[in-house]
Amino acid sequence: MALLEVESLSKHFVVNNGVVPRLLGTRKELKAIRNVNFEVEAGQTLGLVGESGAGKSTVGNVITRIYEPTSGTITYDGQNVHELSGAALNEYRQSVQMVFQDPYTSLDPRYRIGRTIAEPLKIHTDLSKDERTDRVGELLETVNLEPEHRDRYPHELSGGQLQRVSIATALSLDPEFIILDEPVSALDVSVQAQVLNLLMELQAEYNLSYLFISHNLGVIKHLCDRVAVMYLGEIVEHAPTAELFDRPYHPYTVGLLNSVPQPVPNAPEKEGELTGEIPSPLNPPSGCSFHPRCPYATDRCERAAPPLETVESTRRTACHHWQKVVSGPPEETQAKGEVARGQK
Amino acid sequence: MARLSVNELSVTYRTEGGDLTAVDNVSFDVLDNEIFGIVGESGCGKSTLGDTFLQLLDENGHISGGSITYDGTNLAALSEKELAENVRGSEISMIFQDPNASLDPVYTVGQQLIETITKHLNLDRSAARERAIKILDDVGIPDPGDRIDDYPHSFSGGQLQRIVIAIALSCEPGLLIADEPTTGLDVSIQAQILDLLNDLAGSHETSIILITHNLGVVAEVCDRVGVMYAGNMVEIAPVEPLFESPEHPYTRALLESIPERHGIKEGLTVIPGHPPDLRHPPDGCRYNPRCPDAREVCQRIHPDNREVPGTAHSHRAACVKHTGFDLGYDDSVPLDRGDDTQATPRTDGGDR
Repeated sequence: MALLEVESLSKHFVVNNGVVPRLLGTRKELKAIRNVNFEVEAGQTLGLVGESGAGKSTVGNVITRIYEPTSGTITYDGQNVHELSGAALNEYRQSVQMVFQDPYTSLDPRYRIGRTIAEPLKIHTDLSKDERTDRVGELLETVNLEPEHRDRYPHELSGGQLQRVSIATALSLDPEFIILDEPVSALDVSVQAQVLNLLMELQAEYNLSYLFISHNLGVIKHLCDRVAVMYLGEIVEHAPTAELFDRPYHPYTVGLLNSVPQPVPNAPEKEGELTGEIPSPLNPPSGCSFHPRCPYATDRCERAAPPLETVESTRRTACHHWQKVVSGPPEETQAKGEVARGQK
Repeated sequence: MARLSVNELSVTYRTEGGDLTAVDNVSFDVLDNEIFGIVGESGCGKSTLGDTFLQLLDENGHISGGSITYDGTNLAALSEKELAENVRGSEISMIFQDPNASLDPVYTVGQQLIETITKHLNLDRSAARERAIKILDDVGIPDPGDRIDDYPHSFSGGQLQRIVIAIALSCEPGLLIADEPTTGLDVSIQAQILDLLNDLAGSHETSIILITHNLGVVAEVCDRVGVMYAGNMVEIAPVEPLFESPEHPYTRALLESIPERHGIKEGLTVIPGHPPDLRHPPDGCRYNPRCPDAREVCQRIHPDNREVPGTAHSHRAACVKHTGFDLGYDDSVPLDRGDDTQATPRTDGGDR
C-alpha cells in the first residue's frame, strides 16, 4: 500500500461570499481541484507540475490540513487524514512537513535561526533546552550550514541559506513525508543546484517521500520518480518521469514540454507550443477543459470530459484522443483542429 | 554595425559599508537588429547595467567612469532633461519584470499608449489612437479596437506584458531594454512573449538588450550573449559557441548547474562558495576563490575580457587561461585549496 493515497479529492472555494450574493443566490464557486487521484510510495518523489492556477498548491495545502477538502479522502499510512484527532493528529503533523517557495516570508524575521529550527521541537517533543540545542546543531550540519548560523537573523543569510534553514526546520521532527512547494523557484541556478542535491541526499539518507510541486519541468524531470500533470484543477496525465518526457500522452503535456525554453541554442524548431491562455477556473470550458487550446479537439471533447484512465500499466491520461497524440501531431495543428470540429 | 557601444563603463553605489562598484569596467556593443542577452545570477550587476542606459539608477548610484554611445551621443553625459526629451521612450525604451507595476491602474491602456505616442510623435489624438490600435494588434491583443478602452485589471498577466511591450514600441525606438520580461509568467505565456520579441526585433528594426537569469531564454532568442559575474562582463560570444564551448570557467559552471543538462536523479554540479561582497572584492580575478582552474597568477591579475584567438566569430573571455593572454598561466602554480573548494562533479554527475 502506498504511504499517501489521494482519492477523488475536490476543493471548492466560494469567491464572492458577501451579503448581497448570498441573498441573491449568486455566489460563485471556484473549483480549485476537481476529482484528483494519486498516490505516493514510501521513499519516492511524485512531481506535481502545471501552470499557475492549476491547483498544485491547493493539493499540498489540503494534505497538510490547511484546508478541509470539499469531497474525497486522503489516506496516510492507512488512516484518513481528515478524521484524525488528538494524539494521532499530532503524530501526523510531525510526520508530514512542508517547505515553501519564499524563504524570506516563511521564516520569522525577529527569530534567530536557532530559535526557528528549535520551535517545532519545543511544541512537539519533551526535549530539554540543552537537548534541543544539540539537535539544532545536528540539523544545521545536516543541511550544510555552519554552527554560527544559529545566532544569525534571517536578513543576514542568502536565499539559498534560508531555504536550507526551512529544510532543517522541516526535518527537525524526523518526518517521513515532505511537501516541497516550489522550493527552488526563488533561487539562482547555482544555488538551486545545491538545494536540489541536498534534497536528493536527504531522501536517500532518511528514506523520505516527497511531493514536489513546481512549474519548472527541468527541475521536475531531474528530481521525480513519477509526475502528475495538472490543468485547471485536474490531473490530466500521470506517468513515470522518463516515459512522460519521452512520450507524453496528453496534448497539454506535449504543449507544456514544447514551451519550455531549452538551454541549447538553435535547437530544432519545436512544433506545437501552447496557444492561448488558461481559462478562468471560475468559468471552465465545457467537456474537456483543455479543448479550446487543443489541436486534437473534436465535438466530443466539447461535450464530454474524458476521465483519467489507466491506458498502460504505468500510465494514466485523460484524453479522448491519446492514441493520436502518441502517433504524432496533426499536420497543421490549429487549422486542422478547426476543420475536425467543423466536420463533425 | 553597432547601434550601442558601451565603453569601460563603471557604476558605483555609495553604501554605509563603503563604495560598491556594481558594474566594473564593462565594454560591449549591441549591433543593429540583434537581441543581445545579458545573463548572470542575482547581484552580478545586470539590472544595474540595464538601468544605467536611461539613467534610472537609485539615488545613491552614479556612473563612475566610461561612456555609452548611442547614435553618436554619449548617454552618460546627457542631462536628465535631454534624456527625457530626446531619448527615453522615443529612442530607447525599457520594459520590466512585473507588468502590473509598469501600468497605471486608474488609466485605460489606450490613455497610456496615446499619452506616450502624442508626447514623442507629432500626431493628433485621433491619429495617435489609430496608431495605438495598430500596435495592440501587432503585439497580439485580440479585438484591439474594443479592448483599447479597458483598464489594466481586465487583462491577464501575459496580455499586460504584451501591452507594456506595445507602449515601449509605440514610437519605434532603436533599442529596447527588457529586464527579465518573462520571469513572472507561465511557460506557455513566456514562450509566446519570447516569440513576440523575436518577431519585433525583425519587423520593427529594433535592437533588444534582454537581461535574464534564465539560460533557456537566452538560448532560445538571443543572437549574442554577455555573461556577468560580480560586476564584470566575463565572457561575450554568439549564443552557439557560448553554450557549446564556453571559454570562461564561470560560464561553464553556470551551464553545468542547469538540471536540463543532467539525467534524471543525477547529482548536479555545484559552484562552491558564494559571489563576493563587492565592497571588498577579492584580489585578482573575481572568480578565482571559486574557480577550479585558478592558479597563482589568477590571484594577482584582474583580467579584462579579450578576444580568444582562433575563433570564427568574435568570442571574448576574461580568463588568463586562454592564449589571448600571455601571463604565464601554464607555468603558474595551481592553488592548493583542499577538496571542498573544487567544483567537484558529485556522484556520477557533472561530466557531460
